Amino acid sequence: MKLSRRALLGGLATAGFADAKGLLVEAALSDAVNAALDAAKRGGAQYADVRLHRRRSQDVAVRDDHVERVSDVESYGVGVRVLVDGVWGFAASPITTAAASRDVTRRALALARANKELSLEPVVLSPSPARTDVWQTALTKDPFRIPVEDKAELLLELCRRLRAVKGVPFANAHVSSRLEWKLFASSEGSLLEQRIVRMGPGAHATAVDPATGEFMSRAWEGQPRQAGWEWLEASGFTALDGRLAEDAVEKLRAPSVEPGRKTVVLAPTNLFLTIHESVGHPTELDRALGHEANFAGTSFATPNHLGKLDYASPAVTLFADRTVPGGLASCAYDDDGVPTGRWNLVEKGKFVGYQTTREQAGWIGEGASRGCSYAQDYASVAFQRMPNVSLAPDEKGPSLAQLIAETDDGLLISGSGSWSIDHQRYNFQFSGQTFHAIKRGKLAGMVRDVAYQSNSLDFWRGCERVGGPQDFALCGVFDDGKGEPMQSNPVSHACPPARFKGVNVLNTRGKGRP
Amino acid sequence: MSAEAKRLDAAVQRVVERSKRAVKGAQVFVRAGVSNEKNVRLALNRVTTSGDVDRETVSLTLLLGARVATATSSALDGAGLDELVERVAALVKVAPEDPEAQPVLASQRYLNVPGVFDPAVAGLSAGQLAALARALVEPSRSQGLLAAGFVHVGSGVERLASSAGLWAGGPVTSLSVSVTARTADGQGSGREALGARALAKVDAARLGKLAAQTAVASAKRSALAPGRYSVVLEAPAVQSLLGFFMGSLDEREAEEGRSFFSLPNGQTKVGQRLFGEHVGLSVDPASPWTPCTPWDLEGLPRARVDFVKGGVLTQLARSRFWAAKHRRAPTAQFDGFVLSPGRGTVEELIAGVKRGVLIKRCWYTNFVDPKTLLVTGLTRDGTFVIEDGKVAGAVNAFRFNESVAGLLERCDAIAAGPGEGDDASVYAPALRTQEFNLASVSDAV
Repeated sequence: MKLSRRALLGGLATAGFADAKGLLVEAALSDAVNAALDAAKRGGAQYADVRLHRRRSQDVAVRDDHVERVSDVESYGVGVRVLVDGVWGFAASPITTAAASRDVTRRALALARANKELSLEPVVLSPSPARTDVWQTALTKDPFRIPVEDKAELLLELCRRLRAVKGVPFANAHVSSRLEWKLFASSEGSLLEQRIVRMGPGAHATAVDPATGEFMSRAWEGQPRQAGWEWLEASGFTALDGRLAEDAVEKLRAPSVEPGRKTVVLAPTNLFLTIHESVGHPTELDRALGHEANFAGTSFATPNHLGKLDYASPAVTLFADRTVPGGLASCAYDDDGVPTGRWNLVEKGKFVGYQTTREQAGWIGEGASRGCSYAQDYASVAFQRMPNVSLAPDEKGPSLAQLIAETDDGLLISGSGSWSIDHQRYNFQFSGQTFHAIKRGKLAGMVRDVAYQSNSLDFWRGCERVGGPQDFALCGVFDDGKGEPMQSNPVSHACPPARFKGVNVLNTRGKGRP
Repeated sequence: MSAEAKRLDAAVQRVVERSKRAVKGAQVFVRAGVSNEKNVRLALNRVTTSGDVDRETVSLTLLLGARVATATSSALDGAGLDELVERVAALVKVAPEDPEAQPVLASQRYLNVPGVFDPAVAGLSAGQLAALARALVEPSRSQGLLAAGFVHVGSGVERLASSAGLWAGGPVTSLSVSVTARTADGQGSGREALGARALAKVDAARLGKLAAQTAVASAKRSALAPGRYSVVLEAPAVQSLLGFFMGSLDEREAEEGRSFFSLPNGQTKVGQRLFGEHVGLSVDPASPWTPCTPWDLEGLPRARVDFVKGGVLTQLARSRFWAAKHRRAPTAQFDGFVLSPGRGTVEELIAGVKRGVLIKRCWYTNFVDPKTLLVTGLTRDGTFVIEDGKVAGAVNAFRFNESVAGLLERCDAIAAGPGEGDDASVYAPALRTQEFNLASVSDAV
């Protein structure tokens, strides 16, 4: 395969990103790709792909009145995956010369052959037409070009504002900028270049009562996103004021919650993580079929339930989408080279879909992959990872304020706190950042020491009201872990606020039994 | 010295020298490593993926006055190293001052810990890994069970150096194997795992057999209601829970009033008896159970530290900054820990329970309240009811909400061993505790 400037420009013209100049045209990279694919072919591979993958993560963090960390971590290398007699082999190196590529390919072939005896069924890839394309995050301000000193001064100013509040001696803030660049080439003729930029800001305020030894932290509820610096400027982060610290003080002094079965209204900044754990992970096909049994676990949502299981109330439609702008898992092609898309996982309450890769589509009789293959870096093999999984808003549904106004007695939970779920995704427990009692349609003061515990199916079947598009928000996590060796996957979840009935609310300081 | 070690050392020296020239007056700290990792992943009694991966990292920190900047690269070639130096040199000139920055360390004396490297592990081939994987799976396959598992081997060299004369490092190996056996109907599950530095410690066939035994034994479950029970936590469960205690030992957090170990007005619980006399928690790089590199990430020498001795909190972990501020000695960042072994076997712990629960393993543990060390999580891969001192049968899994300090406070017995588990740097035998809060039932198997 010749990696020509024409191929690059053709891709650019298609994608319309005039700034997407990558490294395709460098002769050395062309040699590395071709060396690997040629070696794989000569070595008897029925399929091979090569991924040149660069990651960069720049973090600036401040603590109280000083900079705690300025770091810039970069990794770059080549990973080669081969399929020999239906068995995968993968090898990788940080050296990207043609000779190193050949050596890596030889080792991948050797691994596949060494494991032949342990293979009971050959891997079969669903078809995916070859493509040449270039894609990148739409942005106007590259966060890596924002001076470090400007980032640090912004964060120090935020901490000054937070620590100006009486009773809040401690604050910290950080901003993480992440770049992922990858060039994917396959023995089937695909050649894909993608450049993805993600941003992750954060801030905490901690209130302390020296007389009692009690303390309470409050985290900003902003979310990481695939975006440039201009998004951060518009996100509210730069305008963060003392209210976050005032919340910490109020939370420290708030009465402890009365435990019991309650109606809960979950803000998007809390609900997204519940979606992640109770819908995102259970609908991973590899997990459902036992491929994660030794680590991340399996799933209650097994294929015999597909199309039959009442996963949620009819008000609930949950969908996967790797194309939504800003989504942390959004891109044009997955790491199998398959175009990404959008599809339903739960439709009007019914379980209807899985997340799949090329290897997995045939396992449930589907003709094509859903495009969910991802590898965290050059040294990691691609496997099934979560796309952005979101709750569809009720187009005529209420705003958060309206949702509160129509709730007689309940609890509003906002932001992420402690989280945990069992290995088949039944029993979960989440906390939050702030908790407000709702009485007769109005917020009736903050309470503390709250966690809510439920079973995924009971919880979603108890969803009695889904909010409208007014407060639909894109939230997410930078580092979702799965696989062995464990890999990290950035993923977003969009949702409106929603109301759930009969949820078991715990008091975590021992009132009742937590 | 291996060719890889020579190449690494040459790269480190190049970075130190070029950094000194690039930023006059700067202190230089370099941490670098080259490694190879091989793995085989299993599910449904067969291989799913495998890997043979080379890694190279070089992390450069420059300290200019109170300005600090760090960058890390995976390029160990000359051009890559020079680019790294240029990048950090540019960063440190604009980095804001960090009043807590500590000078780079000079030459240090370290313990001799030969147990961190095993040439037999370093020499494992792809074929030998496949043989280990087969041994994990075979007991399940032969009994009609379904095994998932993982074999991972790592071998490399690491190096730390500074412009003040620090020069530390050496070869390191690691090996971990794990297997989960499940009954074909999905009603029983058992898991065994072992992390080790040395190949001789790993008996994959035995682990596969034990996991299969637990899967079969846990397949017919009775219902047991949530409640507070006497429990025996096997070693893997103890290890995952005590990690929260060890991770909270920071002296600064305690003295700033934001820790379980805080007392009012800047005082701490150091010197207080927190637990029974049989409870001891320490770190020790030279322990035969938990050999680890005798230097920490900054090059500070690791030594034995008793954090809890005879049930008394004897000291907290102290960073270099906090130590300098208060004119105390720092403690090196530790890697793993040891719960002092007690007496007797796991069966003897069980024999002392009239009615209770045996927990093989915990899953998805997370802090709920750091002030009380309240942790939530679930039991997994085998939960059994104990009646009249014997295991009487399998029961449903549970979610628990329990303070790690509370469970140690109510701990009345610790087994003599074994204390190994997933993590080669942790040794913590099974223990028995009372009034353990199993908060709700989990349907997961």
